[in-house]
Amino acid sequence: MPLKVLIVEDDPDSLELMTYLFRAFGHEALGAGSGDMALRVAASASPDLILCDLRLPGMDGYQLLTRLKADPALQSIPVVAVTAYAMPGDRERVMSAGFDGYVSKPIDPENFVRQAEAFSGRG
Amino acid sequence: MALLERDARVLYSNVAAANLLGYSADDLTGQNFLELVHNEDSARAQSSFRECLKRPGLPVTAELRLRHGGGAWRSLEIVAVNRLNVPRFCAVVLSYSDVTDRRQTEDAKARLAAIVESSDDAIIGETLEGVITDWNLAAERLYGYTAEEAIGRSIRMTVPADRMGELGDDYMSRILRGERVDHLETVRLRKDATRLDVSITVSPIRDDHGNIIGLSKSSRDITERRRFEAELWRKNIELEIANRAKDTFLASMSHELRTPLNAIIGFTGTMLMKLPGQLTRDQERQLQLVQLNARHLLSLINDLLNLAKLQSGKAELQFEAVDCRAAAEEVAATLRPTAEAKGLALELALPGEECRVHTDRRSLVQILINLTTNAIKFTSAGGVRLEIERRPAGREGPRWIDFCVVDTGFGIRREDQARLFRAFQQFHPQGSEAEAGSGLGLHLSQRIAVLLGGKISALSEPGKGSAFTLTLPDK
Repeated sequence: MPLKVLIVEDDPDSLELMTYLFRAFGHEALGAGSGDMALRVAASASPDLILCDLRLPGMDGYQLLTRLKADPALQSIPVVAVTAYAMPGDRERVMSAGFDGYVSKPIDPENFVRQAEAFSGRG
Repeated sequence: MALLERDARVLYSNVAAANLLGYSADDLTGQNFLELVHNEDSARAQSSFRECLKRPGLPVTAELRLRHGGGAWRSLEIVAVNRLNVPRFCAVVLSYSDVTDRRQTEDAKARLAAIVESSDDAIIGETLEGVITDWNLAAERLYGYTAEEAIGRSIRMTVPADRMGELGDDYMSRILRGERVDHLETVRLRKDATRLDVSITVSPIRDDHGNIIGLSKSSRDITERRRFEAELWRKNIELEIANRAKDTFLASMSHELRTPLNAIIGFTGTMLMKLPGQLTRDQERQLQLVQLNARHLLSLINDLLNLAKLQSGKAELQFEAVDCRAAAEEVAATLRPTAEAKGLALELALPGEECRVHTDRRSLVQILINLTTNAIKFTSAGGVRLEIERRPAGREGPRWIDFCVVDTGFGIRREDQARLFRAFQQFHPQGSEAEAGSGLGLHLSQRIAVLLGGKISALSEPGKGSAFTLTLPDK
C-alpha cells in the first residue's frame, strides 16, 4: 500500500531528489519548504510519515517536532530527521530530542525509500 | 659560695657550690675557675673577672656557661665580689645559681619570636575581647600600622563595616570550643583605608591550664591571587567562546559540504538505479565514476571534520563498561556484506566468557570499523579475522585488552610501515586495486586510541598479510 509522505526541506535539490525517489517507488510525496507550511500540509493531508530537515528558515526541525507532537491530531505520525548534521554525536542529539528516526545526508539513494518505509511502520 | 684567688684558682668551695657544678668540694678546690668556662663565653668571663679585681667591694654579675663535672654545659648566673682586701676573706667571693632551664626557655622564646617576626604572614595575637596583644613585622607591612600603634587597640579597626558580621557569635563560639577557623577569605582595611583581600586562619591561644585566653590570627594577602583568578576566569570564558565558535563553524561546514553532495550522490544513484530510464554502457561507467568520487569526497569530509573536532579537544567521550563481544559483533554485522561482496570471510574470535572494557563505546566501534574496513580493502583472497584477547593481569597498572584485526592481504612494505599512522599518507600495495582513501583513517584512529588511553600497533609481512592491534586499558 502506497505511503503518503510529507517532506519538509528548504533545499530545492534535496526536496526534488527525495520526492522523485518516493514517487519512483510508487508512494505519494508532498513537499513543504518551511515548518509553518509543514504544519498546514500535515493538518490537511494527514500523511503517514513526515521527513524533516533540521535547519529550516524560521521554525527549525526541533521546533516543528515539538509542535507536531503537541497536536493530538498529528502526534501519532512518525517524524524522521533527514539532516546534513552528521558529526559524531548528532544522531544521539536528534534521537534524544524525540525524533522517531535519523537519516544523515547525503542519503543513500538505493536504500532510502526502504529505510523510510521501515520508519512508517509499514516496511 | 666559692672563694677564688687573684689568679682565679678555687681556694675554697662549699658543698652546694661544688655540687651545682657536679664536683665534690675537694675536686673543685685548686681548679682555675675561668678554665671551666665555655670557649665562647671565655673572653667575657676574663673581662668580668678583671673588672671585679679592679673594683673591690662592687658586685659584678655575669651569665656564663660552665662545664659540669658530668660533661654537659650549664648556664650559671654568677655574682663576684672582690674581697681580696678584706682580712676575713682575702679572696674573690663567688655566689652562683643554675639558670640553664630559664636560659633554654628564653632561647626557645627568642627563637619563636624571631620566627614570628620573619614570617611573611601577618601574625596577630588578640584577647578574647579583640584587643591586639601581638603584631609582627608582616602585620605592619600588610595593615600599615606599626606594632606600637596597633597593640592595645581593637582588631575591629582592620574590619570593614560590611564584614563585621564575620566576627559574630558563630565565629567566637567556634574559637571558644577550641576549633580553628581555616583560610577564611575576606576583606580587611589598611591604615590608609584601602581594602585588601586576605585569607585568615584563626586559632585559639590557651594558658598553662588549657583555658582559652585569646586568639592568634595569621593573615595572608591574596589580592594578587584574586586578581589572577579573575584573569584566569576571564580567559576561560574567552576560550569557551572561541571554542564554541569553532564548534559552530565545524558543524555548519559539515552541513554546507554535505548538502550539495546529497544532490550529487542522490541523482547519480537514481540514474544508476535506472529509475529515469536505461543507460548506455558508457553512461553507466561514467556515472559510477561520479558516484565513486563523490563518496570518496564524502569520506574525506567526514575524516577532516572529525580530525578538526579532535584537535579542538571537543571529542565527547563517555566512559562506561562496554561489552567487547557485542561491539565486535556490531562491527562484523556492519562490514560482513562488504567482505562477502569481495568473496572474503569475516570471522570473529571472541573470548568464551563475558568481556567488558571501560571505554567510550562509539570510539571503540569507530576504530574497529576503520581497521576492519582497511583489512577488507587491502585483502583480495582469504579473509579477515577480528580477535579479542584479555592480557594476563600484570603486577600493577591497568589490565589491557587487545582487539586485533588480522588479514591475509597484500601486507605493508617495510618502508611504508613507519608512516602508517601519519596524516595524509596513502598506500597502494602491489597487486591491490583498492581505491585511495583520505589518508586520514589510521591517523584518526590512532589519535582516538590515545584519547582512550591506548594505542594501535601494526605488524605486517608483505605478501602474507597484516595485523593491526588496538590495545586498550581496562581500569
